Amino acid sequence: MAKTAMVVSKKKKKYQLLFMAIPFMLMVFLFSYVPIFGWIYSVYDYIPGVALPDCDFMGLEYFRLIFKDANILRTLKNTMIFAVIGIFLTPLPMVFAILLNEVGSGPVRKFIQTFTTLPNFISWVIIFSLAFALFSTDGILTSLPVKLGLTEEAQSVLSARESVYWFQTFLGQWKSLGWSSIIYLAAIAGIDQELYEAARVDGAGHFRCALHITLPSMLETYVVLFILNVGNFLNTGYEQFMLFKNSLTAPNIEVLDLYVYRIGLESMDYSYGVAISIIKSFVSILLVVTANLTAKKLRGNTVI
Amino acid sequence: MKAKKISALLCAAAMAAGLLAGCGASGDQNGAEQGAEGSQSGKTGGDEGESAAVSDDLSEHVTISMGGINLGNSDTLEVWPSEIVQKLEEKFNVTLELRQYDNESLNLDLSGGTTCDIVQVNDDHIEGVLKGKHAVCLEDYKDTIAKNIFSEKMSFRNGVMKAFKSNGEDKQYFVTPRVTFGDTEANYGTYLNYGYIVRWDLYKQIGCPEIKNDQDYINALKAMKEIYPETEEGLPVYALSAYNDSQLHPYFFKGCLAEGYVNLEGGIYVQNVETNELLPDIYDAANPDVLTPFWSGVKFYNQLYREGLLDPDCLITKGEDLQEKYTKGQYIGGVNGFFSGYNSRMQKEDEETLKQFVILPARLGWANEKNLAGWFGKYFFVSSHSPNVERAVMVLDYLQSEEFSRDIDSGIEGRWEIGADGKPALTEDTISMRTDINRADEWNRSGIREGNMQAVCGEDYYNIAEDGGRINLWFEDDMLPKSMTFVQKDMCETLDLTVPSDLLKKRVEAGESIDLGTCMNVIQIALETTPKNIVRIDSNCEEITLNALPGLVQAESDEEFAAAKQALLEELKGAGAEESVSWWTEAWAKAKAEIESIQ
Repeated sequence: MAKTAMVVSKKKKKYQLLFMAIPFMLMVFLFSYVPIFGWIYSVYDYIPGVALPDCDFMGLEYFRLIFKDANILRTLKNTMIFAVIGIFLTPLPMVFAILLNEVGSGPVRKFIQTFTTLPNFISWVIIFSLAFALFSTDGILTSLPVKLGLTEEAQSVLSARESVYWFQTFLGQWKSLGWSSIIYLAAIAGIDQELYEAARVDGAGHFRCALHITLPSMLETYVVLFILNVGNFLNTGYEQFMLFKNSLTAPNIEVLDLYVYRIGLESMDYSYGVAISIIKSFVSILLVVTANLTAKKLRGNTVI
Repeated sequence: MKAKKISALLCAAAMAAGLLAGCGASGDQNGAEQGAEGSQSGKTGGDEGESAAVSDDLSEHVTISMGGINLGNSDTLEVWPSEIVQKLEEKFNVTLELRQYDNESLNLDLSGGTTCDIVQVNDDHIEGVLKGKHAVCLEDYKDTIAKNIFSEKMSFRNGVMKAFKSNGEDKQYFVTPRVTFGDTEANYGTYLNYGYIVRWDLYKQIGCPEIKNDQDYINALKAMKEIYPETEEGLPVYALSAYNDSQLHPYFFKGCLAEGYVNLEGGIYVQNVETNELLPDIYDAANPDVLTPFWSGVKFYNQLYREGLLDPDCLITKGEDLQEKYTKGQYIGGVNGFFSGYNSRMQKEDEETLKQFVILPARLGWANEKNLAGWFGKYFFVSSHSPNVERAVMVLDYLQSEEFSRDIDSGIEGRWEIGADGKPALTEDTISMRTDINRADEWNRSGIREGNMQAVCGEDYYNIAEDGGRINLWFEDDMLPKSMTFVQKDMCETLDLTVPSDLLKKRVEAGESIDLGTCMNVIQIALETTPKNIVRIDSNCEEITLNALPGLVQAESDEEFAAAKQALLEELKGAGAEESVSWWTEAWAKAKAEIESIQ
């Protein structure tokens, strides 16, 4: 009797959990699966305002076009470069969280955390205005070396084609570093303090504690986030690049997302834009699966 | 513990319900609203094919919305409704709302059938509007509530709309604003809107040297910079810069003024104002002896660069940056009207200041336009989804009327009066309201020359109304000197002119300048829809050219410039420029022949 009651209670609990997951499943379904219907636009010559069945059927014509389009390779190369730099910098928030954790003074730590988290809430438009004020030829920072007599001519980083990858990555990191480190700070808070105490008894200092306790404890979180990042490899977004794009930086700054925006929304070539996006989705899925399998081989467990 | 579980379950249920309600609300709400409004007017959006009896009943108050690209938003306008709009609202018992569309929002509304009652679109949307049956056929109301649209004076415009903007149905769905009638004769107004822009105080100080071409302009800018190398705040001063958020516009537009062309959208092709021939603007391999606007403009910027006059940020400045730098006084010349903020600021500080930008004539004076079929790229239609189709047609018809055109250009009756000579003239109070900076609020409230509605009305400024006066009474010959600002008066005194635009008049008479009088811009309306593969090629060519600008603008020598140009032409050829040129040449010849045949 008691056993039956336990089974019923377990089942009930499962249903309760399932019920609680419903809103999130609905959300994922509505915002991630329903839009997949839009893929159908890639096989029609869609004209805004005309019902889809009344548009010309194009078959796989737009997919063929992708392979003839020289811009795809260029924008893909730019996307890859930004993504690879981004992947290499993924440990940065973790390192930052460890360093922040080592700051002894509570108020100082809180100040640094707030100060580094705030840029995440500043829109790219405002960041562009700030960057223009600081880094244009007459900008405060660009003109400083000239005023100090260190150089004769001011060279704006905003118009330097070769610095695009690093400068944009720097801005991206500046904006997101504090915010990205929050999850690691939470992971650090979850580490059993007895481990530190035991290590200190054994004579470990700050560095040893960080290296042998904090870092290994955070590795699991890092791997999960890393795999998620790999999944977003091609999703660099376009706002930042659209704002900083000019004729000097354009060849290096135009990423795939920005190209899709230009083709789809600026040139109103929606169908072709959708076709490029579909290919991008497939590549992203492939990357996630590869990263997941690699993680399994290296660490013995998977995320998905 | 139990309470926690219950509250967790309740929260989950509430979130799920909220999510579903949130996603479903918009559509339902729209449906409900449309249903309600539809029942009010007794006609719903989908029945445009039925020949319902036309009603001019105005007893019920309704809201009419009008949306379009480059139209403002009535919610955010400083003054709305103005005196002129109030008159319209009272006349038709409506509340008029303006809504700003961009390409995306317009496409979204077209796809969902949720556009405003009256919509303004450009050439890119015509096909979608017609194939999607979003527009009401205006001819159904020809003899009842659309008499202004179908007045005899508008017959050429209407013929063009039926022939070229109806998807071969030979029906009229669209109207254009600012139609010039065949017998209209224009003057050049009080001042010029485009040309060589100079800061008057500095130009006067260097002795007002005559500017006949780009080289003269560069020399003048150089001399001006020598006497004004930095602002009062110590900021560096430059000749000018480009507005890079408008793609190639700052380059080809400068060249259009210097060489006598008007551009087609994007500036990849240009129309010769005198011969009305189409020329590829950038890919000039087939016409190497002609200096096209783009190459003229780029050369101009390159010369400025080599002289050290160009803003070093020229290739990264956007419109807003330009406005800010103008306001700080960092520019002494210009290509387009970004200086208005500076002029207003200086005028507010001192009404009699000479620190104002003025415009001197270039080779092409942007005046005497003959928009026989109205402004191209602005097509208004009444949405078939409107719950108040008839009222919307009435309002659109009124916007097309002589009465509204006069109102928006000259003010409602009372702002102008019929004089002793039997002709209408602006009152002294109206003139003072415009010229007195302290009466700016009053001027704004009057709605006279309000930017949004000015681009909506049916008739050209210079058309002669039934009372014998021009639609825009400010353009009456005797009125031109009366509306001058202090700096314009000073300009006239210094250069011995009656009005600043006399500079253009004299140059045209001397054969040194031309105006738009010979330009048949109606050909652009008659062009067939550009196929997508050509749009793709043109868009790619535009992007390639944008990327090549640094090499051209910052070339240190003629050889370097020529090499950069050659490299660009080769890249354009590889991108399919020749296929594009071939299509455009053929389409232009066809459109031109068709227009000539109906003229």
